[in-house]
This record gives sequence, C-alpha cells and structure tokens, in this order.
Amino acid sequence: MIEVSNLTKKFNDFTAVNNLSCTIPNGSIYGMVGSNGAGKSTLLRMITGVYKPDDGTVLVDGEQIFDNPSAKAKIAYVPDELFFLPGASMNRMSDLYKRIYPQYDHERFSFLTEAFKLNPKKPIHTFSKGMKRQAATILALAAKPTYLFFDETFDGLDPIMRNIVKKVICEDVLERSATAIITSHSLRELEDICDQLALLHKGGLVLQSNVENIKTTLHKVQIAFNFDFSQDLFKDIEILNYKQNGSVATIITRGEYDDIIEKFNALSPVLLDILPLSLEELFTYEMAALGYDFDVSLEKEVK
Amino acid sequence: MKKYFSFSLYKDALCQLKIPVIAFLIISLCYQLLFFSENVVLQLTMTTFYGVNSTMAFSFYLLTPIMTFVLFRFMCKRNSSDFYHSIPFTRVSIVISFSVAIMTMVAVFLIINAICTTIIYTFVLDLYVISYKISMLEMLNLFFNSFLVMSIIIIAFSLGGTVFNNLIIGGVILIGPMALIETMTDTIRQTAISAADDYIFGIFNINNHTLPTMIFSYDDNLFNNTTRILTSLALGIICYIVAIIFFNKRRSESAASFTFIKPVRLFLNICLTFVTCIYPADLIYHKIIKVGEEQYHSVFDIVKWYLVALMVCILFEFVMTRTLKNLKVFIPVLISVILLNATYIGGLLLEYNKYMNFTPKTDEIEYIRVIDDYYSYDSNFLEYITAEIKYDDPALKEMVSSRLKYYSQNPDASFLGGKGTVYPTLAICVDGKEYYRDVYFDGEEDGSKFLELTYYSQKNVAKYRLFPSYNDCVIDTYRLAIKLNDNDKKNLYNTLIEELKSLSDEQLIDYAMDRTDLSGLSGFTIYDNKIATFDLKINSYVPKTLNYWFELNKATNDNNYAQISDAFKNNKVNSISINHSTSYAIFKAENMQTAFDMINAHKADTCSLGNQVYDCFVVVDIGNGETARYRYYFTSDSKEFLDYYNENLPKRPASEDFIVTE
Repeated sequence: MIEVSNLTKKFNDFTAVNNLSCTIPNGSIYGMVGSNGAGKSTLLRMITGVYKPDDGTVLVDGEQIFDNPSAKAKIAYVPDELFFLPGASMNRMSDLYKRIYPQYDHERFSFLTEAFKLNPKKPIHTFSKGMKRQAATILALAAKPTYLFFDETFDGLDPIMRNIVKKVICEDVLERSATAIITSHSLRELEDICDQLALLHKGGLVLQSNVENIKTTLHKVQIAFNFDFSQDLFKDIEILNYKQNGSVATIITRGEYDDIIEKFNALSPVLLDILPLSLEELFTYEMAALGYDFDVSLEKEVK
Repeated sequence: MKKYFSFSLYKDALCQLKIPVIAFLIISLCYQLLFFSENVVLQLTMTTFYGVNSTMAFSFYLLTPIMTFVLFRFMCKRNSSDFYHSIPFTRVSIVISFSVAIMTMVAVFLIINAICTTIIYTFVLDLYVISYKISMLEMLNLFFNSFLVMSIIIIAFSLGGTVFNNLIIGGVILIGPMALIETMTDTIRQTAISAADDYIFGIFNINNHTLPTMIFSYDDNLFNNTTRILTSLALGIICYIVAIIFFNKRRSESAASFTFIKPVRLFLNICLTFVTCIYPADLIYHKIIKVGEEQYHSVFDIVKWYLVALMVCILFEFVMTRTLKNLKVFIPVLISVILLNATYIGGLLLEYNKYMNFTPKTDEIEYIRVIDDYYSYDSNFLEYITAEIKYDDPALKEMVSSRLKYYSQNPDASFLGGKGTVYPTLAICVDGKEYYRDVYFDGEEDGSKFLELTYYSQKNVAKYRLFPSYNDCVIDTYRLAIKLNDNDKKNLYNTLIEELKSLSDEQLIDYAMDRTDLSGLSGFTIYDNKIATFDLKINSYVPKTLNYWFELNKATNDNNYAQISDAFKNNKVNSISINHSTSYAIFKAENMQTAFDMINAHKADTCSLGNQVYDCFVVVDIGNGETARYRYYFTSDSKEFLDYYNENLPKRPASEDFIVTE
C-alpha cells in the first residue's frame, strides 16, 4: 500500500502539490485525473522518489521512498517524457533494466516485445512515438515491480494499441497482485480500466473514490410534469444539478437507485427516466457540488 | 556496501564508456604509429611513456571530460534525470559507481597506451631506454589529475541544470583559483624583488600543481614531480567529497533549468564582482607598500573601480532574475566580496612582508644552496647536484645578507642588469629552515665574485665525483665515433668516474674548465625521480681514461688506415681537419696526403696529464653521397707534426677562431 500524507511541493513561488493525502490500496488500478498543471506528474514523481517533498511523507509498504533503494526496487515508473540510453536498442535497454531491477524477467520482455511486434535490435530512436511508449511499457512490465506508475502513457498510442496496453496492465495486476497507478487528463481513458479514481485540481486532491461507488450513487433523472413546476418541487431530494426546459427537467441527484425512483414517482410525473452518466459527467457534478468552477469548454464537453 | 556502490551500475557504466575509450585508444595508437619515425634519435635516449607518447595526457584533458559528460549528462535533461532518480539506487551509489567506472577506464587507457608504447619503442626501436619508474610516476599523476578533473565536472553538473551552465560553473571552479593565485604571484613578483617565482605562496604556487603549470607555465618534468602528484591527489579527494555531497543534495527538478539555483547564482555573482575588484585591490596594496607607479593612483581612482564592481554586481543579479526588487540578496554578496578583498590584500601584504622582513645577519645564515643556476652550461644531472651543495663560505653569506638588507631598505629597488650580472635563486638556511629568494649580483664585479664563491669553488667541482655507477645509468657512446661493446663501454665509464674521484679539487676545476672537445660519454640516469642527462669529457686531465680511449681506438684506426689509403688512390678523401681547444682548421687539398702521412706517423697512443691533445678528422667519400669520418689524435709531444701543422696553416687573425683553408 502507498500512503501519501500531507504532501507539499513548491517550485520557487509556485505550489504544485498542496498538502495532499491519499491512500493507494494494493492490487488496484488507481487512476489520477486532472487538468494540465493539476499536479499529477509532480505527485507521481514524489511517490516514485524522484522529487523530495517539501513537506509530508510518502510510504511504500511502510517505508519512506526517497533515496531508499529497497522501496524503489518495488517500483517501475513510465514517465510522460521517456528516457532511453542514446542509440540504444530494446535489447540494450533490457540489459540496463536487468542490472537495475532485481526481479527483471527477460523472458517476459521477449514475450511482450514479440506480442507488440517491436524489433528489439533496432535503435529505439528510430521508433515512432507510440512505439517508444510501447517499448517503455514493456521494460517496466518486464521488471515485475509491485507498483507500476504510468504517467500519461496512453498518449500517442493508437486505439488498438491502447487497448492492448490496458489489457496487459490488467493482466499484470491480476496475476501478480501488482498495483498500477495511471495518470491522464482524460477520464475517458481511465474509465474502463481503473477501479479507484482520484481527481486533482490546482495541487490538491478534490475527490477520491471507488469507481463502482461513484457510479451507483449519482443519477441523471429526466422528469416531466403536466403542470407548472420549479426546483422547489424537489426540495426533499438531494440535487447536485438542476436544468429545466419547459415542462422537462434534467436533474442530477445523489442517492440509492430505488429510493430515487420512489421519491420521484411520488410526485406523479408524466415522464420519468433514469439516464446513464459517464464518468466525466459524474466527476463534473461532484466537483460542482463541492463548489469547484470549471471553464466553459469543459461544461460544453460534458453536455 | 550497496548504499555506496553498485557493481551492476558500475558494469553498465563501463558498457556506456566503451565507445569513447576505444576511440581514444585508436587515436593514440595512430598517433604513435604515424609519429614514431619523427622520434627516431641518433643516440641512445632515456625517456618515459609520456616522453614519446604525449597522447597519454588525453586521459585527463579530453577523455575524462568526455566520459564524465557521457555518464552524467542525464542531469541536464528532465527525462533522464527522472529516470536515474527513480531507479532503486541511492544517489551516492550512482555517483560513486559511475565515477569508479570512469577511473577504471582512465586506468585502462593509460595501461594499454603504456603497453603499446613499450612494444613500439623497446622492441622496434633499439635506441630507446624507457624509465619505467618515472613512467609510473607520470601515469600516477595523469590518473590523479583525471580524478581531479572528473570531480570538478561532477560538481559543475550537480550545481547547473544545462550543459552551458555546467561549463560556466566548471570553468569558474577549474580556472578561477589558479588564475587568482597566478595574479597574486605576479603582483608579488613585480613588487618584491627577492621573491623567487616558483616559491611565492608556498604550496599554493601554481608550480606545485599540474594543471596550472600546464596552462600558465612550463616544466620538462611536468608529470613526474612528486609534489604535483600529491597536490593533485589531495585536491582530487577534496573535490570528490564535495562532488558527492552536492550530487546527493541536488534536486532532480534542476535538470534542464536554465536559471541557476540561488546559492550558485550568488556564488557566480561574488566571483564576477570580486574579479572586478582585483584592480582597485591591487592599487590599495601598492599604496600601502609604496612601491611601483600604481601607488600614485588617487583614492578616487580606487573608489570609482569599486563603484564599477558594485554596478557589475547589480547588473548580474538583474540579468539573472529580471528583477531588483529583492535588495536583501546583495547583502551576502557584498559582505563576501568585501571579505575577499580584505583577504586578497591581506594575503599580498603577508607575502610581501615575508620577503621584505627577511634580513638574516651573516652569522645567522647556516648555508646557502643555489637552486637555479641558469648561467651554467652543466647538463641537468650536474645542475641537480649543484642545487644540493651547501655553501657556507662567510664571504658568500655576507654578500647574500647585505643584498637582502638592501632590498628591505629599498623596496623600490629594481634589477639593474648589465654584463656579468647573475641572479640565481637561492635557498638560504636560517634556524634549520630554508627560505627561497632571488638575489641579484649586479655587474661584473659582484657577479664574478658570486661565481667564484659558488660555481668555481671547490665544493662545486666536487660534484664531478658523484656520478652514478654504471648499472644506475644508460651510457651512449655516439660521441666516441666508434662502436664499443658493452664490456668496453663499462670499463671506459668506470675508468673515467674512478679517475675523476681521484683528482684533487684544483685538477677537477681544470678538467671542468677545459674546452677541448676530444671525446666523451653521454648518459642518462634517474635523479630525484627525474631523468637527468650528463656529458663527461674525455680530455688530457683524465689521462688514464684518455689513454684507455686511445687503446680502444687503435684497433679501429689500424683498420681505417688501409681504407683511407685506398681512398687517396681513388681521390675520395674530402677533407682533413684538426680540432684543438677552441680552434678548428682544414688542410688544403694539395697537403692532405702529406698531412695524413704525418698524422699516421705521429698519432698518439698515450697522453700524459694536462698535455695538449689535437683531434684529427679524415673525411672520406664512400659513395651514394655519404661520407665516413675517421678520427686520430696527436698530442703536444708530437713535435714534428706540430711544426708541420703550424707551417701549413695560414696565419690566424687574432679575432677569428675558425678558419677554412681553400
């Protein structure tokens, strides 16, 4: 388990991460989402021991991570800006990883390289952006770490390859009880793979929740009446967002599904539909409920 | 152990360094193969690996910087910096593992070069003798300097964020201190007349350090000087420890940052501001000691330069940070610069006073050694011995004492020069401690007196009794013009050095002063970890040796006679000449046959002490544009030949030493 407590990181006058605390349970696929500059990469760098926090602690299985080889041996980090030795091929990088990571499995490396149809003898600098990401992912997975960190890894991958990489990560998590932490600025990317999600904004953790939990507690209700009505009609119901267009209202509400149906039916509507919510919409409304204001472009996207 | 060193990282680093090392080894080998023919010598030569293969110095001024860059450039880019800081190694183990790999490759480079040089110069060219002892010292110095250079570069990489920033920081650290010392040394040299160049500021003098000596000075024994070896090691260790500390403290987020971190920025500001202050500080120094034209600069001149320094300080901060809002940042800079100025001026004054206040009385001087006698014509073996002779002649002590007192009372004294002036560097022993001073003995009278008390003294000529045993040197017989086997060479050398030991001091002076260039032995030996050359004359003041030499020549001369006779028949004799003392004369063509007959009839087989010896050459054309020289001797006992010789040469004008007859 990774425990982050009161983590703070500043770069001159700019606070990139501000008093952030979270817990990443074992065996989960933990997604971190946030807009550009939210602090995702900085947080990841502190958790992987690249940056030293200005305040707070990061414990990996109870050990401090910074400058601690035994804790770092459990971690493999695939950053947003990849690094390979100049002129190196995948085989050369594999040699390097073999020397670095105690659990490194060359057979797994060979298997994955073949599966991804990459040439391990060719210099990596001749690869495309997507192929480089695949190469980095293969090396990280071959290291067989307990914790895998992927920082915006799916950028640059085509949809097919994206699914393959997601599948491989899931398999690793299931087979070895590894934990994967994936960051992205797109909830859509994380929706189908993550079981824990955290939303970062301006250096702070705004929301952290189990995905199943959040999907079953928020609902989008479309309701219509044959009489005039306003939001006051629903005063007994917890409403996160209310929009009315004539006699039809679209309401985002929190609660158990059956309770919601019962409460709305009690008002005798002529139309009552429970519509599916995307993860993005769920997060947007949760954020709005917490008082966070997002820009217009994001709201338009949600609509 | 793993906390400090990782064998796997070390192995990977070696892999990364393969290419630059192999490239430089190939360059070194090509250099040796291409240029070894230019190193071909005519006589036996003692040398070292570096003496014939200067590419070994690539190890520290090219190869080490490149290797350090290869391994540590990850600190200049965000992605590579993140990678190396995320892997399961402590920062200390990364820097130590990488630096051990670099030094391993330096050792490999030096050793392989040494092996190649040995093969080329020992087995291919048989005129070289390699001194392995001195070569090892040189390699040690090159290794330690590589260690020092590597450490400085790691410090620079730990403080900077980009290659450009690192170059600036590395340049300041590497060049700054030595430039400062050289500047201060130069100031002392110009103001304290008795300051001896190589000893100003003691251990800090650049002469005691390899890198600054390479850059600012020159020395034949650059790499085998033991003081330089030790200072390189000491500085290397200090810089390496600093490098590890800075590397460990470095923040990964500094990678690729064009702006310097605050402490580095302040350090650079202090350096730049201080450099601007050196000139006014010098003016203050001159004003205090009242020496030199600089003392006449006004206070305003000094103040204006300090104002310029202040502007430089502000400008630097503004350029670096684009703001002058935070004035508090200038306080530590200005305080540091003021302290540095005080230290600079104080250091100069302390050193200056050291020279001015050194005025030992005659009876306080225990002895004097002449460290640097540039005016002698001795080979460097004799120079090294001369430097160890302790002169305790009261007249000499009096001369030195009075000169030093004069300098103290006349700080503006300057070197007058003139014919006969000598200005040696002396080691003056007072209370068991030696003090090094340049002392000027102006003009013929003082200069001659000094030479009489030192160079021409009996103590000095005693050095001719100190030549090494045959086994401790390499003897070449190229001056003998005949080839000797090892046994004859050994016997001739041993005869000579034994005979020298048996001569009295006066006889040794005669031997040393004799300018007859009859014959001699040259050689190399190791003295104080330096290759020392020597030339030993064979002249009439060592008659036993000379007679032995005649005996060795006899067999060859007898063989030569028949060849020369044939050459006369075929009109192939080019010239016959005679060399005596400082004169040299050639016989006219119509007289050559007779001259040769006379030489052959009267050539000397023996010589007695102090006899005049004449050296005769017969030069014969042996075809293909080549000539052969045959050598004969006759002495002043050969009256009949001497008369013939004097009759057949044109009268010598008094002013000419060399005449060529037609």
